[in-house]
Amino acid sequence: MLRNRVKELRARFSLTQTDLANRIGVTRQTIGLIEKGDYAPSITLAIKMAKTFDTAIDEVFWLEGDEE
Amino acid sequence: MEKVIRSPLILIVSLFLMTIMLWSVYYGAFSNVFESVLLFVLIIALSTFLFLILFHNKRNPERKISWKSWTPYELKEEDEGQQWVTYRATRKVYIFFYFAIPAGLMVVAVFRHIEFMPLVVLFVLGTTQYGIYWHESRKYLNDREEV
Repeated sequence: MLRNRVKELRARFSLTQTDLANRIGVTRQTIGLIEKGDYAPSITLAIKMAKTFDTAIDEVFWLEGDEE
Repeated sequence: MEKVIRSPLILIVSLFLMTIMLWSVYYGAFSNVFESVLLFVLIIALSTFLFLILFHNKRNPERKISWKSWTPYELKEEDEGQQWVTYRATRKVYIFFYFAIPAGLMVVAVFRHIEFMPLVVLFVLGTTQYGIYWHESRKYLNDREEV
């Protein structure tokens, strides 16, 4: 299962779900789905998120059981 | 407003009104006055629905709901997350029909002496479909914004 720290990074950058959604061109609901771990985003979306947070993809998303 | 337009609950109510209307017209179940009232309610409901779409499109030019699309209004497919929700919900609906259609055929055959049974079976299949879709999509999309 794909884990993520989108919520934590979003807080660090003082972004609401809507702010982040607008920056990467999706709806707020999709950000909510990703944060809850219900939906694993496409690689395109994952790259856009990592760019927004100015970090590497594996700092945002990782597989359950893997070292962070 | 968009929630109202895209709510499958609207479809459940419309299907109910339509079933009652057809029941009345073809099986003579109700009076002519009742039919006229029902037809009036249907026209008002349809006009309100179309007006809501018009109003929504004026207020949200960047998120217009298409008049021409053959895609049902309740299917939100604005981005990959919502497409995924549609996938989850329609998958459940497919599984329902996989079992419900043979069951419906049997019910119609067994209760063939009840002449309006096909109407009832189709109404039940339709409302259950909308209900399953609504329940499943709500499960994923009905959250509040987290700051």
